[in-house]
Amino acid sequence: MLFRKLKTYSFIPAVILFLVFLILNSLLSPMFFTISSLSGFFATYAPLVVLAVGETFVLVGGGIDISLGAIVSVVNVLLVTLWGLHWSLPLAIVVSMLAGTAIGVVNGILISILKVTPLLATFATSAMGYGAALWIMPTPGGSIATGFANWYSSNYGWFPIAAIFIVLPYVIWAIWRGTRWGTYLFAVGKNEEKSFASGAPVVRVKMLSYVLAAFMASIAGVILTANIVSGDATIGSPDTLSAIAAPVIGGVSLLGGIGDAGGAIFGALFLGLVVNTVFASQVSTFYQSLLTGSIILLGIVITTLIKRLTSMKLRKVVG
Amino acid sequence: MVRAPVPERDVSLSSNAERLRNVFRHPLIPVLVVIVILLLFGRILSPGFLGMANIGNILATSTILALAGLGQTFVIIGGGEGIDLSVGALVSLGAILGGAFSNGVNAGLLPALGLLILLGGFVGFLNGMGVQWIGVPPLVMTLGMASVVDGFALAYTNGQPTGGAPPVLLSIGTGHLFGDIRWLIPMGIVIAIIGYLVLNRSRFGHQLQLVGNNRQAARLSGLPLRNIIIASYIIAGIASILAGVLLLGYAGSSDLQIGNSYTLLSIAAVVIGGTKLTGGEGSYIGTVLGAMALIVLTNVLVAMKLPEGAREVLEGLALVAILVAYTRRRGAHRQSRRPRMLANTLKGEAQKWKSE
Repeated sequence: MLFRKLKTYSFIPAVILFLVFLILNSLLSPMFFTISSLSGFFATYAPLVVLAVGETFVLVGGGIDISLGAIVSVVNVLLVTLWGLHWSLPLAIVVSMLAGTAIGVVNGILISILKVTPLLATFATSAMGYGAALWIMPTPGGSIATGFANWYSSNYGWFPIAAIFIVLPYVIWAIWRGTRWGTYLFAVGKNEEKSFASGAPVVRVKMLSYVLAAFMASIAGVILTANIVSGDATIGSPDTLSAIAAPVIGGVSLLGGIGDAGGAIFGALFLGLVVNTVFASQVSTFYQSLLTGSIILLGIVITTLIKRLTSMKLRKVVG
Repeated sequence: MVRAPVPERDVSLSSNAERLRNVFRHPLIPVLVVIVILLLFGRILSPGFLGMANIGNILATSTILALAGLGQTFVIIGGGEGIDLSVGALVSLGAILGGAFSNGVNAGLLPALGLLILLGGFVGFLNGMGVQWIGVPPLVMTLGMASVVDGFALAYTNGQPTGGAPPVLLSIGTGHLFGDIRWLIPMGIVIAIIGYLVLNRSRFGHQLQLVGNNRQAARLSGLPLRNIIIASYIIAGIASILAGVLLLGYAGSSDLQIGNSYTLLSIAAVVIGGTKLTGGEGSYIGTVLGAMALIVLTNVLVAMKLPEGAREVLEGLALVAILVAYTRRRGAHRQSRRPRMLANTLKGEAQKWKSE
């Protein structure tokens, strides 16, 4: 009972923050609620949403993955390079996504089988990923099929295509959550020793969480490429941190075993809205990142406070 | 005064063979092995690698990373998932503001240092407050703080760092004391000694280790838990920002991202140096050696004359190899304990079932 209540509470702060900034945003830029502006917003932040859900898999399983940004870079650079070599688009997408997912397999092997600390293992693979991306494409450039790029940022009637990639991660999460592997993931994140003792396939569960995160990051890499229409080996580096900040704001516990992809999605959209709001407020460009950083930090602090207050209230009710 | 007990190694040794075996079990052995292997590898790649000039260069650059790793060591030993991801941002800020505050003049250096220590301490204090009073996980708190600090550097400089290293700082960073001995080398030795004394010979250090080892016990024995942890973050803030000043002296000028790689390098140095990421156990001397190992690794890769991308890939691979080797070694230690842990867990569960 307590657990179920906590779970429903865990992403409420993110929704509140999201709504506050939605209102702020609409006040600062009245044009925000037009279809073209919304579809631009979704196209820009859908990659972050996909990444945040990918990170959620790993965080719920009790790990952490800081190589997602590097995976985005690898997929981006590889896709643009292969397209430049006149590969067909579907084949280029499949191959670059396989390469991205392969990094997740390496992460999984290092962490679940060789038992290296997740933070450092993914740091090492992230160095390898960025290195490989830089090796493939030392200077930014290239392009991608215009048809694909146009499709991504277009609307189907009033429905922005990019919004698919905000719903899709949640669908993947919901399906996963419904299977026994989802239950295993939460169990392993909550207590690895006990899960092992009760017969959960701990190694495979952890392995799969990293592979899934890398797969999601590969999707993010593909749609990011569709959005920016060029290749850059460093494109993913700011995403690593946002991909962790979003789920945490969305109530996913860094200790594992608690969290929901819905929270991560609202967290990611909140981060996007903050950037949008700061941009719309016409502050000097040099102050924008300070302002954005401060608001996000404040958001994290407020989320933590709300979480503490609600869990205290619950404890009082129960005790 | 309360003096926290430090866990002592078993001293009742029965034979010389056992004593010898215990020497090999010393936590600093692996990092020394790594350094020696890397040095030999570098010697094979280029004959001048073990020359005094190159060794001096390695030691000098290690000093900067070792100073950045000082605070990281303290925060990680403090336990409770403690980690400081704002180290790199603060190193950058130290380099940028060190140049801006002193304006490239010797007379400006001391006031600049004073201001920077205050600023670094303040950032560390905020980190500590966020972690200890509000309860934000350290990883997230310091990550958020890193982006605030980065943003502050951008706002302060309008994107273009001004000033530069004052001549005194420049001669500390690049000058030689005598022969091939650079100024940074004695400085590194002093930093290592101070770090060792604070962590292993002071009351604060003992309390920090106890807090990292067992929060519950530390709280029950009346240690000022919150203040100790906050102090560790303050030390981290000050050490990182001072490392930035040294980096400015070494590099001569700064850019906005000059120190960003130090965040993860400092964590890697701490772990390679034998400190446990879960806290409670570790040494600063280990971190210093870990920093050297990482710098030697970079130098070896530079000596291979590869393109930048390939170098990073190899750096990652080498790191993976080191980490796996480390984990194997630890695993061998833990093996004997694992079944017992499992049994205890099961027993605890059984009791819970019975009581219900």
